[in-house]
Amino acid sequence: MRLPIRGLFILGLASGLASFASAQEGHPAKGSWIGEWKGNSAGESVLMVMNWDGQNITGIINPGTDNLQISDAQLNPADWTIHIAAGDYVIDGAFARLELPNRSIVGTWKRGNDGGDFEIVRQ
Amino acid sequence: MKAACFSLSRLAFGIGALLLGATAAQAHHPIQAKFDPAQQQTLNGIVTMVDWRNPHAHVFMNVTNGNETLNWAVELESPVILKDSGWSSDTLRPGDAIQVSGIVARDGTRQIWGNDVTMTAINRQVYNVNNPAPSRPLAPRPTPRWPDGSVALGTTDGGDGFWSFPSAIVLQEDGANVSFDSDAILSEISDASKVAPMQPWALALFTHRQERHLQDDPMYLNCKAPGGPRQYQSDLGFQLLEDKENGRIFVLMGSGNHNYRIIFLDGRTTTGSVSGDDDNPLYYGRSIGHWEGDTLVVETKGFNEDFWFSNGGLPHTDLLSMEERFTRPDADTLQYNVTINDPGAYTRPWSASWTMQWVGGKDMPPFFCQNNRQ
Repeated sequence: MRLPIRGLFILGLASGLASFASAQEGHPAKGSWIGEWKGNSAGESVLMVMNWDGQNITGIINPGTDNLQISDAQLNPADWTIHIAAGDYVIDGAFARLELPNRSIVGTWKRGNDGGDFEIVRQ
Repeated sequence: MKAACFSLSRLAFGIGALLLGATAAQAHHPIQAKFDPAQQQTLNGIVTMVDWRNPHAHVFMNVTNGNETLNWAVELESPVILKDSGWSSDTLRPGDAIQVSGIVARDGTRQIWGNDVTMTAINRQVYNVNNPAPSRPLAPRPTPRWPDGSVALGTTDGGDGFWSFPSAIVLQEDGANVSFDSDAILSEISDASKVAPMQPWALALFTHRQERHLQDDPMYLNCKAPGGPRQYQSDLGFQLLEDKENGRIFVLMGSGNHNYRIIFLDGRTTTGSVSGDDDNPLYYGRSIGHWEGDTLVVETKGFNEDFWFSNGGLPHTDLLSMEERFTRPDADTLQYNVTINDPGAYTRPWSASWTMQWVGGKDMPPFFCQNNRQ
């Protein structure tokens, strides 16, 4: 019971904050992202921070653990999908509402035999 | 977008919301974002109301077809532009019979962009816009100069005047010669890659913005001022106000909310100071200038990413730096050249150039975007 409530809280927080998302008209991946991380034993919320240095997407993810450095992130602008590797995590998602400051990324994550769906919203 | 036009929607609600459907009016925007040029229509009817306010004036009209009478909203240019062309809020009055030709809304609601409005009783065309550039003198007038001999970028006698009528309204690399329409929308979307040397993500985003007819432009959605080189491609013009004593040039913008940007010529650098102006990225960046002969050279960096820096929707990042060069070869011409260096969005530095024309004897049009929110 605790996890769904916490998950709902995080989602509510993310949704609330999303309405205050600051404008970010540059690289679509850049920014702070918060959202739902389904099927994770450490908690069903995730924080992700991504930056763009002109050649690479860098940053961290925190799926309820310590921060994990993004070791590889590849954006495919042909279909606006993104592949991210951080620690043991492998994340694949697609951008939605690309044109809005509170755009989102929806997809799946895997870590060994664990995995699930996720949705993060840019703050 | 809805917030930006709340007052207009509220005003129109009483007579038109139920009839027209639940579409909120948009802020001043590229026309094609809302109306489809492929859907031309002509309406005959009776004026029921004139809504004379920024960003766009509206005329509401009843159109009868058989036994059915429907209310249409005719959207027109801004009152500022219409007034410049000699029109006023009572040019049309409720009860007047009119014929409207234009393009209808993409979403199927009863809204039409009025390309032509005619009072049928007297066959008089009204609300047409006639705002040509001032005619140039037969021989170029000499460049005005200050007593010390330096070039003046505005007036030297305190008179009115501003720069407008840019020779190009879209930022694109010199020599690209890509065709855009008057709303800064590509004539051929396949030409997107020719506009500037974009990285793949930037090209995809630029194409996405163009395919959405620029409807997400924060300048129109949120009444933001034009940033970067876009300041010099506005149809509402700008002024360059020189404060020679303090080593500053103020760029006063005719669009947005008449905001201003400062170019410092007092020897400071483009880095911030710990006393408050730190190195946070800024909307206008940090601009420093110096004169090379008769050319003002301005270097700017430290931009944030809160805006589109071109009318056509080219992306930029906070890695953007610009070198701008201003020359005034004669009294009525301002030559502008900008070199864009943004390794976050482009594959190499690139340059663009255009000219602006002096509009003497008058001030910039009194357009204030926040009127949308009143």
